[in-house]
Amino acid sequence: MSAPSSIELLARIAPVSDEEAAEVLGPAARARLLVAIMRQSPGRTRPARRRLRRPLVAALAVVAVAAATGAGWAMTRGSARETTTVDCLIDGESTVIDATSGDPASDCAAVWPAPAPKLQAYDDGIGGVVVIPASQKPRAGWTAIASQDVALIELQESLDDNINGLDSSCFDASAATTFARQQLDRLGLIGWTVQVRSSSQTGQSAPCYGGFAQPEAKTVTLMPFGDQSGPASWPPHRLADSLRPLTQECLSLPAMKSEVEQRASSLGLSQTVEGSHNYELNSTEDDTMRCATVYETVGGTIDVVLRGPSAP
Amino acid sequence: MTAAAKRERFELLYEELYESIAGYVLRRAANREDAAEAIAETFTTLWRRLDSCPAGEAARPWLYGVARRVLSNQRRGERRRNALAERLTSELEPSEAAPVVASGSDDRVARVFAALNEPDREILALIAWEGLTREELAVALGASRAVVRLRLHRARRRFEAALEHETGAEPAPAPARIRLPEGGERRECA
Repeated sequence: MSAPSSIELLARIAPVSDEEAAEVLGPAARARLLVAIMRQSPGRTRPARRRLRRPLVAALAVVAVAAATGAGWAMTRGSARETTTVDCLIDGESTVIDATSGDPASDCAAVWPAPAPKLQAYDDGIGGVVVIPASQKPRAGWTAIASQDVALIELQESLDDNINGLDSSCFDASAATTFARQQLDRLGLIGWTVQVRSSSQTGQSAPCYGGFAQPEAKTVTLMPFGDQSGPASWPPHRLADSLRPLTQECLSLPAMKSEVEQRASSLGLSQTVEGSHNYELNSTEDDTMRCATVYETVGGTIDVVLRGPSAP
Repeated sequence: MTAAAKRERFELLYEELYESIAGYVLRRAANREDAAEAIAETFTTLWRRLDSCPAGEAARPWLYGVARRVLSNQRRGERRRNALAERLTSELEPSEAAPVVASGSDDRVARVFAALNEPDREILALIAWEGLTREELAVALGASRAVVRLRLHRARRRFEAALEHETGAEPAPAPARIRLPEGGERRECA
């Protein structure tokens, strides 16, 4: 038998096989990443790179579930007005955030280094919404826009919601379909369909379904993501449990905000401390609403989104 | 390409290449968090640049090239804020360093490999661990075949010389962990 070649010797010390590597993230994360990527607008040019601090989420590493369906999403060759993400071009670098208020410039101002300049939102012509300082010249093909469709934003939030949405417990395909249809009706989104992908299409066997909206096809797609139930002690679960009773009450926005802050604080969660006890609170005044709504999604941190009237 | 066709092609490539890219990245990244970020960044780039990704088998080395640049930027400390990467990282167990070599592997081979310069390690690992052919190496490294052939020849020579110097004898074999480039399984690209 001949001696092994140097390349064969080297192959034997490979630290991990492809199969083992794929298991590091697990099938649920793999499926979530696929969905989250396809919800982003394709075709953007690569932004300039710069040194960045370690993502906040490193400290939230134990936050092991329910992450990706809240990720950025935009249309494949769809209309920018149908996206539920905003691309804030801070110093030429892309920071994609979930839209919350329907005013993309206002949403970006919240993440812009203070003091934020006057900002302007544009339809980038390829399905995305981009925000840059109003003093900067937009690229060719960009057209100014002022708003995004709040119903679409809320649809995605409700699907990702940890309080009552698909991330709040394990929904099987039937329950997830019913839930999605209820949300479409509630938000007045007419002519939409709910499509369920079977387990075999994603390689998942666990029965817990998550979902994402595809406005270009007027479709909510539901996919099995595996068992998303984390430990009861997981901060987002504890907060969601604490906030759930509020969804049964009819509160003004200020009252809802006060309740959320109190309950989060009692759980040791803060809006200022970066790390595992951090949450972000976004509130949007809408006097056409009778009662405030609250959604909790999990991404780089815990995001709590409130909408409601300024007074009871 | 229509939106549906684009989505379908991306899904096919993702399913076909996820394990390979995850393996490559995890074998090269400093830790699991960096690996998760690099995987997310690599496939996000594929999605955004799908029109640039070559058809057929050439897609695989092309994506290795993307992953290689992502890892390279990571090592230089240049990161983009990538919300997907953050979310993917959040799915991991608490930080754990990625293994440098297989546990129980031949220490002498590992020691010699670790002592090589980075370009040599990279090209040898792409051949031995990723199973790329020389043609695919040229695509992944963005270099001509002639340059790749020369770089590979020199890297291999330095590795073998160092092995000889280190061991003075043939190293003991360890269990194989990955397919070999010659005669091994080849993957079809979507």
